Amino acid sequence: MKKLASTIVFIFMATLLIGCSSDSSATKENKFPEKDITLIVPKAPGGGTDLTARGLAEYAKKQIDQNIVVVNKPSGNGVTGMVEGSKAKKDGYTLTMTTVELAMLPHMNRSPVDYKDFSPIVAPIADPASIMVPADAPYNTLEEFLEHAKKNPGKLKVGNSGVGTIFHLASVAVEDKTGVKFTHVPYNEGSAPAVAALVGGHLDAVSVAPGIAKAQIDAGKIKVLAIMSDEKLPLFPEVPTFKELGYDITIRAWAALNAPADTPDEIMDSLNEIFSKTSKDPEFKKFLEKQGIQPVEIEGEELKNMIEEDHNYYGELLKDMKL
Amino acid sequence: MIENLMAAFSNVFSFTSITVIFLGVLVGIIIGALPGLTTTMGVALLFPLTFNLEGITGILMLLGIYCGAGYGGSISSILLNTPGNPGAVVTGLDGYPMAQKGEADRALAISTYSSGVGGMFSALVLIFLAPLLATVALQFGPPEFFALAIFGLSIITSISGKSILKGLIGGAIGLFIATIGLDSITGMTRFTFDTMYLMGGVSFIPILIGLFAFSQVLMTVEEGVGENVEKIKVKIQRVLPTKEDIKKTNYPIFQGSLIGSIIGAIPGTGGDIAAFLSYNQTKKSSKEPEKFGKGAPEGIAAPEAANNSVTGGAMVPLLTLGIPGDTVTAIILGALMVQGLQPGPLLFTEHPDQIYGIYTGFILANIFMIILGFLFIRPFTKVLNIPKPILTPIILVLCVVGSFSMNNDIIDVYIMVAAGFIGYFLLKLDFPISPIIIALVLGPMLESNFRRSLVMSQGDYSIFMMRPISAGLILLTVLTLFGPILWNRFKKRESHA
Amino acid sequence: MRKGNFIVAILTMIFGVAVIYLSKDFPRVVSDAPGPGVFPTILGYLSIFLGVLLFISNLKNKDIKKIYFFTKENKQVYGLVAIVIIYSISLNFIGFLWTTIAFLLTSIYFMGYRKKMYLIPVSVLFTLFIYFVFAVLFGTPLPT
Repeated sequence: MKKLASTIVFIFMATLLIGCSSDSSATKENKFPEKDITLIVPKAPGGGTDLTARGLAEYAKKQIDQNIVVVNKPSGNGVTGMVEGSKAKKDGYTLTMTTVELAMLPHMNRSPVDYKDFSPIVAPIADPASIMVPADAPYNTLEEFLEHAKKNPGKLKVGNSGVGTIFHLASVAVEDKTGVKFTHVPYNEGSAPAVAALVGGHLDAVSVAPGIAKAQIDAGKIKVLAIMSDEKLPLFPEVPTFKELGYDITIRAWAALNAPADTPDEIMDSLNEIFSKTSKDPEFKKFLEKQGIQPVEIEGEELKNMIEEDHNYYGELLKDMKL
Repeated sequence: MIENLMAAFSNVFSFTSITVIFLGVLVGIIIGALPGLTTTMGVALLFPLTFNLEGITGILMLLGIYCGAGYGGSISSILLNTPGNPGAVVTGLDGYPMAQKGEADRALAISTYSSGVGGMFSALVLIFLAPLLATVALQFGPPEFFALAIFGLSIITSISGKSILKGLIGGAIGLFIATIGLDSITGMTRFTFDTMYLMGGVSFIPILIGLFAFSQVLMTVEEGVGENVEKIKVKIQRVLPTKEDIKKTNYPIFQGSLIGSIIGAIPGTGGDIAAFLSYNQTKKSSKEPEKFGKGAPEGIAAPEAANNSVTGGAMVPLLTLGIPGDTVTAIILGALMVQGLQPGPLLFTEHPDQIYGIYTGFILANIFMIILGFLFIRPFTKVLNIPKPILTPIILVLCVVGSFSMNNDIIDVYIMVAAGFIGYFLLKLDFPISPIIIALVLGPMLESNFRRSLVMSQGDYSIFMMRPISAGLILLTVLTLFGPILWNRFKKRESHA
Repeated sequence: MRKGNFIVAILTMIFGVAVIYLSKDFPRVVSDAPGPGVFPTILGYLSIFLGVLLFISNLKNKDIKKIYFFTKENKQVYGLVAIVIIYSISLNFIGFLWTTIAFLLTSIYFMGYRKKMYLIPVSVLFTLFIYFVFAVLFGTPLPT
């Protein structure tokens, strides 16, 4: 028995050792990374951010020989994960997939860290919010919808993906800019149940990313009235933007890959190169597009500016909302 | 239809597909049996693998995990009273006592058999009734969810054992714990005492593991673990359920499968709620309700059938409408879209062969689940032969690792230990534990849908009674709660007269 | 058991009062619907009510089964809990593999199992097994 046990121990040890050594034997002209990279996702597994991060990690394997291990840290609404990511060693082996909430939560006194605690690498997605209504609704354009809303202040039930989320802010921004008044119905379980409630006829409109309802849009059950991006989305070419219709609203739910702030330049350069290539990889783009997400590749200064802009904008918007 | 079926068969009955489904089910059973590893986690981890698999092959693997995990939870629940997932909590109510009587093999056989039948039943529902069921599922708005939560909570009265009062107190505490964190309607923080951890709410899985597994372990330690304690004699006589058991469980399995298929189709609900409802209905309609909680075969079959038929039900809104009902189906939706298959009405007209492929694969997954389940009964029951002084620490490690890996947060481990220590005293005071868990699961659904309904009706309470499904469910709750009492009164008066 | 029930009843009432007290500052009505404090307040009153009911029903209770807290077995339970607490805290600093092996060795010994022939292989093997399933097979991280 003892002999058998020790044999098994030996086999186990051997497997482990082989497993470890094969990792370290890999070489490439690029020195970084020499070991597996940990990617903290401050969200539960299965959500949009999580799946995007997993996709990014999977396609980044083409650029490097090491693995990228996705670790979900959703406690405290993701704040614990972001705090841990910002405090990680500045060696480039711990990255964090932050979301637009990084620009929102600090204004609600819910996060001790903000964008200044991170060095952004790339944002593969920046999904705009949109206003969607059932296909059989009496209005076909945003103007008609807003007119209807003006005549019935507080009567239109607009669903969002939870109170204080980016899509809640989106419908508040619409109220703010157009002077209408909605009844906000938060679905803290996420966007999908809100869309289901819209299809089931329990809501008058929802404010979520258009991609999440791609199946219903294509099947003609839901129509998108307008989206809150700067330019039209190639995935939904017929849908006008709020800007085109004369309302200056840009709300985007981005997810950005970050290293901790003040990570040394040479490491940042390697990281930028790896993930810039990955986010430009046509296969990775196709992966996002198929899920109804418009791939973007915001990086460098542009990304820094976007995050800072959003940080300031939501600061003002949230001040008025008093959440 | 015929050529589509043929195409589907040639698709599914390839070596790769069969292997992949088999592996999926195997991984699913392991994930399900280990507390702390959730189905969502397993499916999310294997999601990237599906990119590299042709067509629906990868989706079949995820389906295999989904089916296997629903069943796996019952194994640890029956053998160790450590539910692998919330749905298995009620399976343990009768499964664990039966195993303690030395009939672990019988309990596992019943749970395997009823899980398989439940899964198959839901596959048939998916194939033949999908569009109809989808329409019903969409009728569920906030008032209906509220009514469903109330209906689910009424089970507390039937699983509280010796003291209904203590069960209700446990329920109130569970409902309270569920309110900790950000309020779902206003976003205000409640009872967080300015801590970051509590802002996200108390994690559910560590409490489940603590209250059940950890406290159970402490109880067995107290009962004594020395040599003088008589070991449970595990004699494995059969791995297949007896004719008698099959006969006894026919109706509970049918009822459970029906409940599970419907609950599964309603977005936002899951196997746990289905299992609670099914157990409750079976006990209420049983001629011998006093046998429940002491190892009644029906008490194992009903929740297991419901738990597993949820999988087929959840595929209904996913495939017909493209609406995922839970996180697992959300990932499956993503995997389908990566393959260029967009669920929704168009999928049925444009890719009927793929749809039939999914159906066939789904049935195959259930068959594998039954086969693997029966094969595993012998080795799994052997776990009970491990001496308690060794088994106990091993379970403790599983508790710790399981609580940690849920959110990768060490605080969850501390929560688990605290919940377990409290649970130990609750057990000593004859407190039933399951009501706390049930209230924790249903609490958020109850409160947020109650308030969401009133936001929508602008404060008009009649919204709950003006809608047929919600009014019906509330009425049903009142009937199941007070019906038996009134009926007994009525009968007494008759006999007096 | 009778005494225990009285304690439970009183604790439940205190719990109810505490919840009501903590919920008192929330707004009553938000967007036409009950505010954040309403549901907990109801739970608070419900707890007080249930506590009182338990108290009253316990007056007639003749259950003389005693509950012990300081027997030899009880102390073994507390000892085990202490070991688990030390284990979970050190996990965070020393990492999974070594602490788990140490925990298994200590707790199996503590439970009264002395056969070294099994003690060591079981502790090491099971730790490696868990490491393999979680970290290698499923790639979920363990405490380091």
